[in-house]
This record gives sequence, structure tokens and C-alpha cells, in this order.
Amino acid sequence: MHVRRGARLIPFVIGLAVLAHPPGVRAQPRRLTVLASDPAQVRRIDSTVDAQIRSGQLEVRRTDDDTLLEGRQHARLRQLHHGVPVVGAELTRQTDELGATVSVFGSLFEGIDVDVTPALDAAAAAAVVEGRTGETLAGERMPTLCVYPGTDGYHLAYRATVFTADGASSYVIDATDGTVLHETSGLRTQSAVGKGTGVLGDQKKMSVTLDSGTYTTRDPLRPPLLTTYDLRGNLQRTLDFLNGRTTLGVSDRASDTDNVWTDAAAVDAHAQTGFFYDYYFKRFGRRGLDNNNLRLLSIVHPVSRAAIGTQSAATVGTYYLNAFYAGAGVMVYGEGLPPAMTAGGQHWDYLAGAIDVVAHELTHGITDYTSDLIYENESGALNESFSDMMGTAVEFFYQQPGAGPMQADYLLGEDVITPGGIRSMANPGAFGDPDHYSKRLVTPNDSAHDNGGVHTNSGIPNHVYYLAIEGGTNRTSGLSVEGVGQANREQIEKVMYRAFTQMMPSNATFSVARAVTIQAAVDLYGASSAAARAITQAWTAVGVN
Amino acid sequence: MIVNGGVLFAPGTFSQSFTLTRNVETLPVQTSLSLGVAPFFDGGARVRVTRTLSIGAVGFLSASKADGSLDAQVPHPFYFNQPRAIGGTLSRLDHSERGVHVELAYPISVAHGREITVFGGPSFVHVQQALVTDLAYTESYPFDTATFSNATTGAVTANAFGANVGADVTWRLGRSVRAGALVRYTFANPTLTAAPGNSVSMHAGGYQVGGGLRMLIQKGPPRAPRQPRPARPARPRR
Repeated sequence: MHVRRGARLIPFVIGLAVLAHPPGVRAQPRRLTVLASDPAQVRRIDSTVDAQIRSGQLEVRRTDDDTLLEGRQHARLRQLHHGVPVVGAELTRQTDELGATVSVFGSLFEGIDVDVTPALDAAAAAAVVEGRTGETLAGERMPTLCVYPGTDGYHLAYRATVFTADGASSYVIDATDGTVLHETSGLRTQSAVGKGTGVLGDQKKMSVTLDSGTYTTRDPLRPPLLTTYDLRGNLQRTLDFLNGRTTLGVSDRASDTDNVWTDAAAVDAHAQTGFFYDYYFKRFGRRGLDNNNLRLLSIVHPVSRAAIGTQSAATVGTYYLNAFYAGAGVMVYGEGLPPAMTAGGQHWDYLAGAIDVVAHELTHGITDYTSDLIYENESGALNESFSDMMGTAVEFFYQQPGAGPMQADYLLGEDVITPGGIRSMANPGAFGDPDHYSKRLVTPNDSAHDNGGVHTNSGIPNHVYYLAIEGGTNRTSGLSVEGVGQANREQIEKVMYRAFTQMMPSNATFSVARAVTIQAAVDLYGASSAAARAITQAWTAVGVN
Repeated sequence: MIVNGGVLFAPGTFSQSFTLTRNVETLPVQTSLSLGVAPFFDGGARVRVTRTLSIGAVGFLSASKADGSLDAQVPHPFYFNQPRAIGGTLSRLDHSERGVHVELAYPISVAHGREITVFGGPSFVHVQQALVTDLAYTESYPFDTATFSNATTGAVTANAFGANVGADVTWRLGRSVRAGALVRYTFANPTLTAAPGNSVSMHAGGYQVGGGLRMLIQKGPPRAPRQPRPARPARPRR
């Protein structure tokens, strides 16, 4: 077990450390990081974790069977302070078939000293959000209470995500006085620079429903409720739905009278969402985003290409040059640009047209229901990177390797954002992204700075994924990696899937990710396996130790 | 007049090869069917046209069942060019043949009340056969495999002209009644069309082995009534 808190080691007693401090002065948040995979370390920590569960300081958020190693289970434990969840505090505990703990990863906060009785109710917090965005929140989008470890100490706060014409934002609002403590972009986006040209022209099958003589995009064959809605360029209706103010019905589904579909965006969103579900099921035995067949709801045409001239730059960035996972199984696919227009020197076609984009965004949904990696700084970059990894994995699952359209490669979005796509896992530097930890972007974790550079620093773990499969030399360190090879790419996919969905804590750093992915490889293939060697070498090559 | 019953040995197998449309792709289907041994009945008459040649017509009827197998490639509901192979058995598909044999008969041997006749001529055959017109299968997510459930069949008819040859051995049972044993080979090639693109060219007929009765009806003047024998004179007593 590595306990990282400066150079000092303290006994692992969660939440019992009450430090004296003057009245009115907030205790500085102190994070305790746990990386326990050695049997002796695990034994030591396990009894403490159990005691904390019994006392209500830890809560089992969910337990999932390991779909790759029979008998293994993974529990996610979140820290509570008098029953209120603490933001960014989570442990993951892996147990074997006998119930013995195999590993524990994550971090918790100690010294929390806030009263959990809020001065403001949720409606008041929602009013604060409305005051800043003009959007009202309702239903399951209403703010929820939390303990927020801010830079100036712990706060009792509300969290909420709101969708606006300019995008989406997540707010942390002080439950005492309504102060906005933190604001980040609430979108898990595929990025926002590029362009596309026309329709790819490939034929896909559509699993649809016949309703009163009209075919509509509800897939009756796959286990989850898989539906694609065509909002016909009505941004206000899109916002009403995303903010919980309205529901969508049969008449909102994409439809066709002869079952020969010509709306390329609807075809790709609908079919490729199914491909995504199929990949996870066939590769990992996973049943959708929450592993319980949560609905998959896709929205196409949230805005109109014809109306682009009247839209703000932020709206164009969010609803045209973007695709995003909006939570609760909802995906919104950007409209792209009219063929005659470019952005950033690139053409942008319908974002649903690229299978890696679709799988990338939906993987954010997987992350939401598993590691829930905090969308800022290194954990946010890991969140983005896991989506890139799985987006690329799905692309290789369905397409032949190659460099042309509808061929599998390590570029992201290259089929609809031409030329070139938006990121490269093989050579992150080609897009200005770091391929080594020494080149990471250090920037404030706010929405103005991409939540701490999550789309930039993802280049580092992205390159790990690439090197672990293909092998090669890191351009910065000059260190070489012996990859598992194309024929064994499934091994790395399973290692990453297992690590990111079952073992990774929500507050993981790159260093934690290194430990977790190596552990996943060792569990699956053995300590001396090619996969474990490749993962270890790759992290070392990118400067993460 | 001739009446026979016996068994028909059908000529081998016949196959269907056709396509259906499933999941916006072509579903190719192949069947292979064999007709079993079938009972047959026929009846007709021959008329002597020369001292040694007869011409006749015989109506016939047979009914049997066809058994065999089916193989198909079922398109995947989500993906192009990823068919699932299914296969199964087909059993007891109804088959029947009716028709008329026209035959020229020639006796080649007569001895000790036994007569051997060879015959041959054109045949008209009406065939009714149950053919596969659709199929059902079971499947479940992720639909990478499917299992054959059953086939839908429909009765299809066709007519064809062919020929028959054979031999008949008879034994006299009485003045105008004979018992006969028959071997006949009939061949005809009807084409059965279940639907456009779903046609089967099959061999009808086959070897018939059977037996029956032959009743002779003779023309000519009636015979004189039988005269009583004269009484034998008594021998003188010694």
C-alpha cells in the first residue's frame, strides 16, 4: 500500500482524524491515496474498510461481477460524511471467489468538519443555476447535496448539471449561502475542432419498429430500449428534454415510410449505437451502460444546418461541432457543418457518422456507471482516454485496419472530421497533445481551460494504449515498448476495460491508472504475460511511474 | 382387363434450391428430398390388334412421403454479409403421382399355362409434391447463431409426358382369369414451381413391382352347347 500524503505515513483510519483549527476557519482537505495490491497491505486495509462500512463512513455504491474473471467481484465504496457523499472520494475493492480482498485502490478525504444541515434547499440551489444560465431544472436534474473539498476547505454544497444553448455546465453551489464554488463543462465531448464532407455512403442495417404503417427508430431486437430521436433542428425542444422539462414520444423518433432510410445522421446514430452495445456484450459480456440494459437514447438534428448562420459560436461548438453524452443513457450528436463550410480547416459531417465518435461518447456513459472518473485534471484525462481507447477498439472490431474512410486506425473522428480527425493515439504530438508526462498541460480545472486539459492530457494514456498493442518507441523518452501485436489486441482491450470499469477509483491519477492497469493485466494474464509486460513498459515509456 | 397393386421404388433424390428475403438480404435455401417406397395401384385394358400385339391403356395412382434435409444461410439482423448457417430434417412431405400409361404389349413366351409379355409406351404423369416455401428459425440476441425450427410447405403440381417399359408374367387360373406379376419402369421429368425462382425438376415414376389379376374377355361366336355322352353299351357277361 502506498499512502501518499507528502512524505508522512499515517495509520489508515478514515475520517477519524479530527484536527483542531480555529472556529470559522475551514480545515484544508487532506487526500489519502490507497494503492493496495500486495496481500499483506490488502489484509491490513481490509478490516479498516469493513469497519468504516459498518459505521456508515463508507457506503457500497455498487457491486459488479467481473465479466472477464469468473468469481471476482468489484465493489465501489464512496465516502460519506454523516450520510452525505464526499465529492471525489472513492475506493474500489476487488474480491475473489472466496470473498477475500485482492486489491483496493482509490482515495478518501480526512478531517471533514462541515455541518450537513443545509441553509439552502435544492430549489434555492436550482434558482442559482437558473440565474446563471436561464435554464430551470426539474425532475432528476434537480441539485443534490454533497460535501465538496474545495481549495479553501470543505463545503456542504449542491451539485447540478444544466444544458443550455451554449453547451452544458456542472455547478457546485455552496449550500450555506448559494455561492458558486466550482463550474466546469458538463459535457463529455469528442472535441470541437474540425469539419466533414458529405455522407460516407455505407449501407447499414436498421433495427426499427413498425408503428401504424410507419417505421420508427426503436430497436426491438437488442436487450436495452434503444431509440433514436430526430429533433428536427429544434434546439429549444432539445434543451427542454435535456433539462427534464419535457419527454420525447413516438412522433419524435426518426421515421420512414418504406424502411429504406435516407437520413444519414439517423441511420448512423441508430445503427452504430447498436454496434456499440454489441461490442461490449461480445467482448466483455457487458449489458450496456449500467450493465443492466439501461436505455440508449440518441438525439440527432438537435439543431439545423440551415440555421447555423444565426447561432452563437458556443452553440455551434456544442451542437454542431460536437457530440456528447448527456447522462442517463442520452446521447446528442452534433449536426456538423454545411458541406461548403469548414472549421479549423476541416470539414465536419454528421458526428454520428464516425463509429469511434459514437463509441467514445457512449463509453462516457460506461464510465459514469462504473469508475465515474471525475471530469477534471488527470482523472478527467483518464475519462477521456478510456473513451478514446474504447472508441478505437470498437472501430477495429468492425472495420479492417487501414488508412482510408471506414478503415480502422488510431485517429479519432477521422471519418467525419476531414482531413485527419481530432486526435492521434499513435502520435499525440501531431495534434499538439502530449505523449509524455513531462509534456502534460498544467492548467486550471475550469471550463475555460478544458477542465484542466482533459482533451489534451488524454494523449498520454492514449499513447499507452497504442504502444501496448502496436509497440514502438515513445518520441519523447526514446523508450521502446514490445506490444502484444494486432492479433492480440483483445488482451489490451480487456485489460483496459477491466481496469477502467471495475478497478479504477473516480479520483484516479495517471499514477493510480498505471497501478490499476498493471494489476488488471496480471489478474487476467499473469505477471509474466505479454500483456502485463506491454502495459508496464508503455506507462514507463510515457513517463508515468 | 388388368388390375395391379404393388410397390413403387422412386428414382433417387431431388433437391430444391431457392431464395427467400430476410433482414434485407437474400436467404438461400437448399433441400434434398428422397421419396420412399410407395404403394401403387393401376388398372386398365389391352386389346389385341394383331395375332401377337396388343395395345392398352393403364391408369395408375401412387402416394408416398418424401424425407430429407434442409440447409440455409440466414442473414444477420444487424450486419451485412454475416449469415448464420442452419440445417434440419424434413420428413413426410406428401408426394403423389397419377397418370396413364399407354402400352404396346407383346407376348414372348407361352408355355404350360404361363405367359410372359413385354410392353412399353408413352406415359402421362401428374405429380403433386409438397415443397418448402418458407422456413422458421429461432434466434436470440446477439443473433450470431440461429436454429432451424420448421419449414412451411405447399402442395405443388405439375404434368409431364414420359415413357414406360415393363414385363408381365401371368399364370392361368381359369379360362378367363389369370394371375400376373408385373415389373414396370416409368420415367418422366415434371418441373414443379412453388414460386418464381423456386422450381424443382424431378424424376417421376420409377420401378413398379407388383401383381394382380388379368381377366380375358374374348370376342367371337358362342360355343355349341355340350352334347351328352352316349351311353356305353353294356359288356356281355361271361
